[in-house]
Amino acid sequence: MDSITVLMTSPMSDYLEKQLKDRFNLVKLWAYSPKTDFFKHNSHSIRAVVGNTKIGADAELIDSLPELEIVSSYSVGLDKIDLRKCQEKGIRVTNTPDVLTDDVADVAMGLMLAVTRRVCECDRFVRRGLWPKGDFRLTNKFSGMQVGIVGLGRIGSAIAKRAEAFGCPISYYSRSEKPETNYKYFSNIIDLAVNCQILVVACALTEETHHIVNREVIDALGPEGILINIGRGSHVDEPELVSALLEGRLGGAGLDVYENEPEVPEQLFGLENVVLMPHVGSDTVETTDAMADLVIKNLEAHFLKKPLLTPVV
Amino acid sequence: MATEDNEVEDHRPLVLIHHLPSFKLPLQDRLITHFRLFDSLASPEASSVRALICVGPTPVTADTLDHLPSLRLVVGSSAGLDHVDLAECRRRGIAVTNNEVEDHRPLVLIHHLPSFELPLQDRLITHFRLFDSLASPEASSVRALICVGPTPVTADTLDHLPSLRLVVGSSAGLDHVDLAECRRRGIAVTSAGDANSENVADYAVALLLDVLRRVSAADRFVRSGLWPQIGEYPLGCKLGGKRIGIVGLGSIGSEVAKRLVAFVCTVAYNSRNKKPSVLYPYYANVHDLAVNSDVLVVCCALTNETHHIINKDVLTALGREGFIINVGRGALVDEKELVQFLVQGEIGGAGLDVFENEPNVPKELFALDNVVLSPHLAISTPESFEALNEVIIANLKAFFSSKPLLSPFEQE
Repeated sequence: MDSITVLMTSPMSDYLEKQLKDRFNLVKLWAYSPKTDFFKHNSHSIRAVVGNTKIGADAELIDSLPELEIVSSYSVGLDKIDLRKCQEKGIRVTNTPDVLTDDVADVAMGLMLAVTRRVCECDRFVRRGLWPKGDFRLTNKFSGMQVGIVGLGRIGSAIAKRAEAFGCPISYYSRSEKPETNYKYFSNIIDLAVNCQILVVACALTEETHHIVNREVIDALGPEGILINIGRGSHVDEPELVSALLEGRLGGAGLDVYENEPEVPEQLFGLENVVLMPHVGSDTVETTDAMADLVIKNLEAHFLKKPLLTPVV
Repeated sequence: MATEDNEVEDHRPLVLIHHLPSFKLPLQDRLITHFRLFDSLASPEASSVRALICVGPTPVTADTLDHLPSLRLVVGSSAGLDHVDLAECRRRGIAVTNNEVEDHRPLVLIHHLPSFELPLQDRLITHFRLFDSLASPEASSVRALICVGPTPVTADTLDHLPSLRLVVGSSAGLDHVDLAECRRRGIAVTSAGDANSENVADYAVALLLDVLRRVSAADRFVRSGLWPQIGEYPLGCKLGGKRIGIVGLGSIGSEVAKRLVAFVCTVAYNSRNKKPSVLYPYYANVHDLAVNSDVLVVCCALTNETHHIINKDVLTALGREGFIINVGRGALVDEKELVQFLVQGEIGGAGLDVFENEPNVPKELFALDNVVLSPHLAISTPESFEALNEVIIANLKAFFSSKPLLSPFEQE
């Protein structure tokens, strides 16, 4: 299939890059500067786009690629892809669900534990040589804390299953109630925030869920409450979050995503009740390889006219 | 006007309430159901009254008694009677009673090193009389002691306490107590039992997630402002599918296992003895467990047998891709060897809450990103101390009422 030209939007994975190069005619978007040169020379040959959470396939890109047949995203999130446009033009879209579910859920749990038990702060305390001078202070017990999940999809359910093993009562807000679970359902996010101690954002980013965690929700969560975000930065009104943390109106936060990555509000750097990770939810060797394999398999299936493995459109 | 039909004869005896103007007797309304009361030595009834209640420190002197020729009883309302002329009362054949409340609280020694305090002592004093020095005269009669933190209980300690029958530990570990000596002397020992197990298990999982997914290292990276410059951050290791080897499947080990199963891990264990009711695979020695594990979680008690149970041999068996989490005691691990393995990259990483020589931590570890360090904190939540207090009080109460102890230490 090395006559088929595939566009990779950003340097997301060396392994994926190699696999694509071995199988297809790979064109790397970031090798061209300015972008206009790229469009002039390649736009008519590109039949597939491999995008990720940084650069997907927006309307502008799709319109400039008249031969585009498939967008295979190296992510489960689809917020960077103009799905409506793809649908209109009959362009297929695939993503990478399931293979990254466990890893993202693990990061959510890692953040919850790190924030409540101040693990990073303790590590800093020891490395700075402060232990001989005196003990670290008490932290809060994690087991049994009430956990509220926004979005009980694959990742949300995986988080619930893990938190349950710590004796945490689980509640959730989702587009629809899931009666097959035993978890407590709330029909709106404010009620969920009022009734939990740790609020975890695990839903997809859509127009409706943009800034779903706003000042009102943060206030409902309160000065003892903790926000964990492993969804998308834009789920949360970031300036509101920062001021709530600085003013002590929110108890703590564990964040893997931000509104304007890789920029992270510097005011958070001095806070001990915050844990910050650089969007690594699915970043393990095993999972990134599995994601890459899924992208490749979807592309091959498409060009061999076989059923797609994980189609979205 | 009273008629024969309406008149209720008053059979209540007469009692004088003897008080200084500034003193009142509370609850007098209770007394009037039983007694007719008056309160002045000048009253005509003073000549016939046979009993008086002495309010607080109101003096009862010879002069007082001269006003009360029929008096036969002085009832004091305090334990002390120094305001009553006891000799004069005795001379006149007047009986005197006081209000001593007998202290039924059992005596307990708080055995602690100078730097250690027992939190929540105020709860204990509602149940027990406390003292804290082996030099105190009470040491010879005390039957129970609370051992605060790692304060050693040695043969010498026990020599000072000839009546001791119970040592109540305040931690899960009892390596600071000479258990053999206690057994020899017929002294029972209790531990903190399960009071802290959940907290320690939570912390073990927290350390493991941190090491594998680089939580602390990533947090350092973001706070350094390097993300916009460097962009790429090293990949972590997936927890799901890892083979967890638990060293010591006691209360803490079981809680760790329960949690990690939910992360899609498999669990195997080593313990002194195989546990017939447990379904996880058992390995008779730690080396074999290490060969078959990706992660070792050390949760066992420190004894002579388990000292340096994690040695060079075990670390080699665990391998380059292996990880170790220690929430037990520092001396369970040959720390020098572990540091070498970590520095040389011969082991995948470590999460350590305990060290051989706390609070000193080998400085070579400070430069490593695949190590997470913690200042022996696994139980440090307010809930831990509450739970601990309950276990301590429960064990002591059981002992003093000859009931079975709540969390006796038993060799497994």
